[in-house]
Amino acid sequence: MTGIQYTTLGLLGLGAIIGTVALIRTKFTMEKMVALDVLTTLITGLLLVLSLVFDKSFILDIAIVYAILSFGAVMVVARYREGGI
Amino acid sequence: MTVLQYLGAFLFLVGGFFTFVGSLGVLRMPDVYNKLQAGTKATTLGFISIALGLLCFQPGWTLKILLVALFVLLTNPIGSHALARAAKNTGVPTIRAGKEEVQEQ
Repeated sequence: MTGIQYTTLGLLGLGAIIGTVALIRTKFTMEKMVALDVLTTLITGLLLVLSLVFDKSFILDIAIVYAILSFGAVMVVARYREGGI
Repeated sequence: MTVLQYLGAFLFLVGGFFTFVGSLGVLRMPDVYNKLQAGTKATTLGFISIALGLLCFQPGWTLKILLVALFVLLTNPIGSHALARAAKNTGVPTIRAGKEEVQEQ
């Protein structure tokens, strides 16, 4: 049963590496923010799988706080680049 | 292993696959809008699938898991909409403009 969890962890980690490469290689600011948005959603999913692997439910609280902070960061950068915050 | 755990394993694999494909789409798509539609939708589907799989594995954590899933399901389209609007208003070029320039030459 743990093979499924580790397979999902491997897929998500590979996706995180690819997202980091996309974050570095893109040119415009908005493309970088898109890559960062995808990366934060992916890391929130990684935290959910880690809470099952370690069998601790407080990692879900970390996932909630991480989702809130990433949403705030994306909204602030998007509205700032647009001109009015 | 019960039926619920088989369902959770299937949902985990589906979620991992769709998040991986979404991340790959962000790397491979040529334009910021294509990157948005490849990244946000597939990643949201994968995240919700992973959350439902975790719900099948641990039924005692239902409230927290549903809170995370509902929050991501609400805020991910809002963030992608704000990013697309900011990209349009700041003048990020689309791939169609580049192709027209190539065809004119």
